[in-house]
Amino acid sequence: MRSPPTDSLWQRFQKRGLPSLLLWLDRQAMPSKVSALLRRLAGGRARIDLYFAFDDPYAAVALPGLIEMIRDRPVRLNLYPLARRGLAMDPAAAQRRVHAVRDSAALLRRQGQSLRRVSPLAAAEVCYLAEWTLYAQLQGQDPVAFADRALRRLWRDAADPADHVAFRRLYAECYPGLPLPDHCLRDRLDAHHRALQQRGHWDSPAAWVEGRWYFAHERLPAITDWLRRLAWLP
Amino acid sequence: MSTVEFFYSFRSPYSYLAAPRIFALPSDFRVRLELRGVRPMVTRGQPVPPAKRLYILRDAGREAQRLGLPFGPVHDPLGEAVWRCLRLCELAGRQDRIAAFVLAAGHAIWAEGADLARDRPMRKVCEQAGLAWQDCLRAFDDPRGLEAMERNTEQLGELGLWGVPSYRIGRHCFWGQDRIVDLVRCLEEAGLRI
Repeated sequence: MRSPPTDSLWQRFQKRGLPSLLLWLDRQAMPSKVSALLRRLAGGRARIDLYFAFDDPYAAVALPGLIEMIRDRPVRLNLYPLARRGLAMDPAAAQRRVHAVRDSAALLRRQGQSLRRVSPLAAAEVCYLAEWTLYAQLQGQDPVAFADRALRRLWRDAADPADHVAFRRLYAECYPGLPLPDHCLRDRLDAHHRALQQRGHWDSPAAWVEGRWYFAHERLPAITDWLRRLAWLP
Repeated sequence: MSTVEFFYSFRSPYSYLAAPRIFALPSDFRVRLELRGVRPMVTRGQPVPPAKRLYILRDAGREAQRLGLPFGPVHDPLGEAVWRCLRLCELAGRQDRIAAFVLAAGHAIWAEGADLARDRPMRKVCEQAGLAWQDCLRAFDDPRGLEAMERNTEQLGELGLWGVPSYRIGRHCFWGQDRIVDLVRCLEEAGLRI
């Protein structure tokens, strides 16, 4: 026999004990079920926190899917627009952006929909949309309608992000009488990114759903299943 | 006959989840499979912080439940276990036992928590896959397995891909255990269903 030297106890714990324990804990749904039941009895609602970026085509898959999923259900969708996302020093970052466009198109094709944009967008090109969404939210408006429509126009209709007039019109349709932000909100958007990292995720579209993280664009059925298990969805 | 290239990492739980469906393709489609074992992401300069590791583990566990595959206890094979498995891929390929070996090794790592850096569990995997242990001992010293891994990893990058499991057929590439449905659609559109 020629086995290499045995791992130390700590190494064995890191390689086997810890991941197996984490898996086991993730499968314990009872605490979430009890929490959900108590909140329902108190008239509360479930909560989805979605961190997303306008330069992310996956967000144009995730947000409409979530909106449709929770329509008329006791689930609140909180939006956290991002101006930056992903991991620092990722050598595959450029490849990921190109791939995400193709992959989003494939995901939408499964639903009989299409994505007209064929190349990535730079974060800087669409950062103003994140600021507008956040500003509307800070003014007490529902940010979902604007974010959803803006994402659809950007990605599904391939609207020109430089056409601020068209997006300003959309904003006015969603929030009649509400002015555009008169100051930079980049710090607030960066705070969303920091909060995302502190909560245990790193990229868009990350959905925190009743104690679990999901990449929302590719886990819509899993999110539905989880909310059903907690009896928030029928 | 068309070839489906299957880029696989023994350290990737998603590769484990994809393998049974990919190895089943030749029974439904007129395709030949080529396994391309690649380096673990973390040894290719890809950042894998704890948050990402944790997400992948939990998400893979939930996906395994959805697919009805056993998952856990697990034993992270990073290090010698991965290199041994990759060395044995070369042998298993020559003996036409690659599917059996990859499926058995994946099950041992991701569903039994077996440490394949150790001989006893590795021997069990090899024998399950129909490989003679004496041949395996010789293969551990054969550099061809790791040479193939380096070529495969390079090829993955040349295709504009970085993650596994990935699949390539002709000019079409797919990434993800949950994108097999798109690969299948591609095979159907190419008229390859038996």
